Amino acid sequence: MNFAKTLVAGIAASTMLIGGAALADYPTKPIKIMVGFSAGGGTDTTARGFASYMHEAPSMNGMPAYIVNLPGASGQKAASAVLDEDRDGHTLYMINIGTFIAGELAKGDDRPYHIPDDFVNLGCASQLVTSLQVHSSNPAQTMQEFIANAKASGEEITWGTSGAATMHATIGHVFFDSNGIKHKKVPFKGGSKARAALVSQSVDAVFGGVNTIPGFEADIRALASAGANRDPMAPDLPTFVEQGSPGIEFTGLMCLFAAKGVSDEVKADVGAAIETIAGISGYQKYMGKNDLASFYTNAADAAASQDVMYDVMGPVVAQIIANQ
Amino acid sequence: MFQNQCAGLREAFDSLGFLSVFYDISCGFVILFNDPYALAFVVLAALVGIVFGALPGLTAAAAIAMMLPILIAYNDEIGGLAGLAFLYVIGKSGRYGGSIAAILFNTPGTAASAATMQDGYPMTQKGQAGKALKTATVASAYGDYFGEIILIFGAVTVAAFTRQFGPPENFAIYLMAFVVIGSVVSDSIIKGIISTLFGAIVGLIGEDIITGQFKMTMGIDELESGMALVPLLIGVFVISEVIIQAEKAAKVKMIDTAPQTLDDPTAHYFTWAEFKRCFPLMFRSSIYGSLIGMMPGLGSSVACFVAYGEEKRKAKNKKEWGTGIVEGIAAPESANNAVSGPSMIPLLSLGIPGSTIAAVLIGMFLVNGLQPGPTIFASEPPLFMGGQLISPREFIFGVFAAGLIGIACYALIGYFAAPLVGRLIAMLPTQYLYPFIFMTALAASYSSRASIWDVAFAIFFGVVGYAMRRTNFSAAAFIIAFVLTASMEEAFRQSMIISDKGFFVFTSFEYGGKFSYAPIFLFIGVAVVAFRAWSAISAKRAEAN
Repeated sequence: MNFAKTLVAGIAASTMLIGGAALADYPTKPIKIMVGFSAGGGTDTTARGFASYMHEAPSMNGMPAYIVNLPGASGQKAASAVLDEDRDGHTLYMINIGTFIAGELAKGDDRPYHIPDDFVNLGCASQLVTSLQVHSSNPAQTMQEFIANAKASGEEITWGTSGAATMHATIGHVFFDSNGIKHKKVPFKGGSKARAALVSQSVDAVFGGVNTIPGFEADIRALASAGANRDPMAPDLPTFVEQGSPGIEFTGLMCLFAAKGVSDEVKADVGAAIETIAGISGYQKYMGKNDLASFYTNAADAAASQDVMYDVMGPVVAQIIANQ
Repeated sequence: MFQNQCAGLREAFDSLGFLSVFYDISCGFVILFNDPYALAFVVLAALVGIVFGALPGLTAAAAIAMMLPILIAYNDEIGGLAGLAFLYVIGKSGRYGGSIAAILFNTPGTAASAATMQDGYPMTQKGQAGKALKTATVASAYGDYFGEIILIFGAVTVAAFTRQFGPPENFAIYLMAFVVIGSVVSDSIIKGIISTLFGAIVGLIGEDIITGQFKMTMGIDELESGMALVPLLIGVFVISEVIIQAEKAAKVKMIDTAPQTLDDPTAHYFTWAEFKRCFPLMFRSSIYGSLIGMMPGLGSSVACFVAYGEEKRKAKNKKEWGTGIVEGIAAPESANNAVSGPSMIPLLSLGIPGSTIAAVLIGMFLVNGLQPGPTIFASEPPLFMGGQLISPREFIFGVFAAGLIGIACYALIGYFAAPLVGRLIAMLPTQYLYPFIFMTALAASYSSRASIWDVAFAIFFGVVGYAMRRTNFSAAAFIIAFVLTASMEEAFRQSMIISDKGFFVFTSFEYGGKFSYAPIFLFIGVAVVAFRAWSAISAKRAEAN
């Protein structure tokens, strides 16, 4: 039971602290993982699955992790809270980098932080993959058919998404603008509400996570997914790039962040823990049931992916802000 | 689907087609009985609800508001089903518990049992307290089972229908709920509407869904994600009651009469003959309660008066009503508990809470990864509970199963121990009880987000709630409006984007090439307000004559 584990770990941690500095290797107490969204969303689901295996990673000294949800301002409230804590690696932040960057960009000059300056990416254990979804009654069977039909009709395409300036919203803008389709975005509070709007045919399309489709195959058809490669959880779904719509080669890697200033030991230990957990079959099974892939991306590759997203999303989000 | 405890059942029920609801509820029982925490919490909830309901002034909503932060904090430890089942059953047993105070002390434990006083207390005065309490127990359980069956058979069907609803329909339903609550919930239409508008203004605080800008936050960080429900509920339902009790304690002793007893054994029992006589009346009252429960915003307090009034109007012995007859207890009690199940239908099928209790349950659903709304029964991902993966549908039917067991628990406790609960409450020293409740309320406010601001909000809304109750404004309308406003605003803004017709999107039977039900809901709202206004004017004229 989690409570018992926490208790045992707490006792162990306090014993180690009393035992002396020689034993004070990181971590010395349970790890707090902040989540900037309500319980139950994609980030929270990943974080909870991840946290439940934290103590199994050898580099974590048997310490467990626990989740604290601090929703608000598209995750920025939790991110700011992480910056306010001691920079000893015992408070980490989990989010997908797409949403993290989009949230920062959406604030324009009022941004509370700049991710590359204030945070360190420690590695990633999953990803959120954006997809173009239409209602099953839509005649388009492929992305190209959808584009052709939209252009031929000459009408504005109404599309839903999980928020005003999220990664999904940004990708939607990139797609419609680069293909010269007139469009109108309808933001919803969360992916499940956007999905409900597509099921009720209140919108023509939705840009949302691939993980929101299972259970709705009779109502929803996905036409394309983001990323340089196909999503391992939806291997039959071709990417935007494959179908001739470039510029959407990235996915929202689900990563753990620490405030800048943590020691190299923290970076190495948490990085090793992420790699271990991503390979644990129980974690993989849990994530698979939630239609989320589990694989390890190291800190360097994740940081490179971050840079690409800034380049692609920056101008789009600036345009969204300018249009408001 | 996943391999869990229900796998065997699934094969057995596979060929039943539309009767798959029998599989659903059977699976719900399997999941519940495989979760010892959940079962224990169902029994505990039956007891806690009765006690809270029976405490004058404190309602099931008050108990739930104080328990919610604790349940959320320990959700992982006790399991999602235990927490949700606990709150759901408290809602039921709390409604029933209110009748104990109404019958024994002539003070309604909850607003839902206000009508029960009219015949309940006279029976106590005649020495028939035992009979009155047992009538209330049987009628409550009857109404509750009636409502629960409607929920079990109706929720999935209604949700399948509401899948067609988009933002314009949702907005029309919210608007209908607003005007219906505003005009029906209070004695005065004007006061009801003002209470509703006040709730709406508080509900608008926070981040704008379309632009991401903050509104009315007054620079307070805690308000950026909106006013939290828990401190608001604790303020309005708990702290305001503590203030009222403090006032009362300064004037008179809260409860001063011990129920009389008679030697006649039938004075202590709800006889078979009486049950047969009341059966059709309880059936009709349960229908009223269920229909009212399905209307977003209306609740048990409306249901009990409608049932009492209607059955009195139909009765041949009108003059005996109010003098202490079992019918006068059976009608309101079966109606107010019949509200419980159906009030979950708008919550599950539309995401709109039908009562204050349902409003709190939204939070508990979200904690478990479920977004109430038309797609809830179809949605994945699965939930990880008790070491197994179960679908949201299986989980929700687990809650329904908990409701069915919970009714039996509170009925058994109530049938045999209601007089004891009454005696204990009469003995409780209010000078200790309410300060204790006040401190617990403050602790609960703080613990929901570990924010001292939430304690300040709870105290502020405690004073506001007190002022509202003293001036006959409706606290229930205020809370429901608060809960509905953010979603209503979201639906409104989305409708404006989706349609090119402006406001006419709500009066048109078509948008985006599909049929719209929005005008139908608006019509219902207007009709209810018109009827209510007409009734109020007629009553005034009759009074003048």
